[in-house]
Amino acid sequence: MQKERILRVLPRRVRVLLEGERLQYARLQEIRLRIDKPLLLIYGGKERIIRNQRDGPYIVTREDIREMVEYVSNYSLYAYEQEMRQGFITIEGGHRVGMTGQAIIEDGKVRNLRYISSINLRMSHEVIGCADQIFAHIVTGQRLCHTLIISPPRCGKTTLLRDMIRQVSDGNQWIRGMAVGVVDERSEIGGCYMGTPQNQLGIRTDILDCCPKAEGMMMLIRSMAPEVIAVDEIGTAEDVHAVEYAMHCGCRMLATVHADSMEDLRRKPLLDQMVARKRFDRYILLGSQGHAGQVEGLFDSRGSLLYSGE
Amino acid sequence: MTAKLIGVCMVVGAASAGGGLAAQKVRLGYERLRCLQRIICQLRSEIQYARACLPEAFQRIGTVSESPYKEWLLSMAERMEERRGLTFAQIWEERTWEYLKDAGIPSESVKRLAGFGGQFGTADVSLQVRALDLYQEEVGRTMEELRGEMQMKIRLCHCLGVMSGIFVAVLLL
Repeated sequence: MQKERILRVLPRRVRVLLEGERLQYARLQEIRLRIDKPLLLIYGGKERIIRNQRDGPYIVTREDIREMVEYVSNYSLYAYEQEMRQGFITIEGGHRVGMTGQAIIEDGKVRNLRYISSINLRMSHEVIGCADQIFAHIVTGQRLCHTLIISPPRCGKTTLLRDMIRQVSDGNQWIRGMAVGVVDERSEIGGCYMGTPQNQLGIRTDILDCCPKAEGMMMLIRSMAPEVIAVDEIGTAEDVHAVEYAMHCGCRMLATVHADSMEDLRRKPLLDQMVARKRFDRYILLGSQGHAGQVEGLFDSRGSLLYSGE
Repeated sequence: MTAKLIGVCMVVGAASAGGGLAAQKVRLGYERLRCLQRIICQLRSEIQYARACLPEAFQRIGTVSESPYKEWLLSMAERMEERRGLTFAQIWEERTWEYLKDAGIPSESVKRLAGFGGQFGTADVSLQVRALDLYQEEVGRTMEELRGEMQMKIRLCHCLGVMSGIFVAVLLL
């Protein structure tokens, strides 16, 4: 399934090459295509150059990029204008296709991209059970703590969040099953295809796909009465206000943010105020020194270390 | 004599039926264009309002459309899913000629429709909506022209059918 979803967005020639490589798709992390440059894979944490039949590195052509953009957008770039503005499109299965090219600017803001020259296909991996070790620390007296996952890119924060959602929704030894509302702005958590999540998010999860986080959280509170709300990559003022509003409404919050450390988080405008006001009860810091998804530290609302992964 | 009379009736009848068929074809062309106009309206809504991807839109519209548009739209959706390296314009043109060439639509309209695919799938929604509006206007104009000529053409087809039948009968007698 994973293999088909990945191969179907690749240009025909690249598809043929990868089919000949006998890859384990669970180990595949990234596929990078750049015009006139060799085709690169990040496979099992290492870079790998793909060779063509004549034994030289396969050089990506402009035609390959055009073909891939057509496949990724389902021949319908207009339907992904919002995503293109952010520089990536999420495809079926929650895999992220990042693009660079020439930005089209309107009123000082990026409206779209043209002359796309590089594509990075980043795999989304569902790791069932990766949140098992976390629950002992984020549940106190049968009550789920407001939790923020802090991590640099490619360290597995979305994967961890996804498994936390699944376990909170289904219930586990630490917590009873709760109604979870997920605002999946970029279809990465659920990997929705035509509105149906392709990843396991539990039996009590309602998912609002492709919806801006701030607006989505309000919609969920009004319409689905969630006990827990989960969102990925908060950062804007609207997101922060919506998170605070949801907390005031009695919802437990699970969220993620890009940062290297607690100190880095405190340096971020808006988020530093959330830390200062002790909005979150737990902070989970991820790193990738050993492997993606490794918990480097778990902190309480004051930023004191509760658990160290080292 | 009776045999001759029966023969004459059969010849005239067959020729009239031929005329009737030709008249039916004229009516069919008009009906097909009306159906195409409806499909373009639906497609416009799918693109502008629902921001649906083209294969999804074709699938949805195709399932509720009549033949040959049903097969045309569904085959396009299927072809796009195959990912054979063709551009959208190529898929559109290829499928249009295959499914609509002999579907009773005026050949000029099919030709214009086949060339229309190049304007789809771009990043600019408003361009696509405008292109659909323009094509809609063109179809509307063609329909108006057809409507103006249709009654006369239908009458002519019927008359020619009967007259040619009589003519052949006279020749045979």
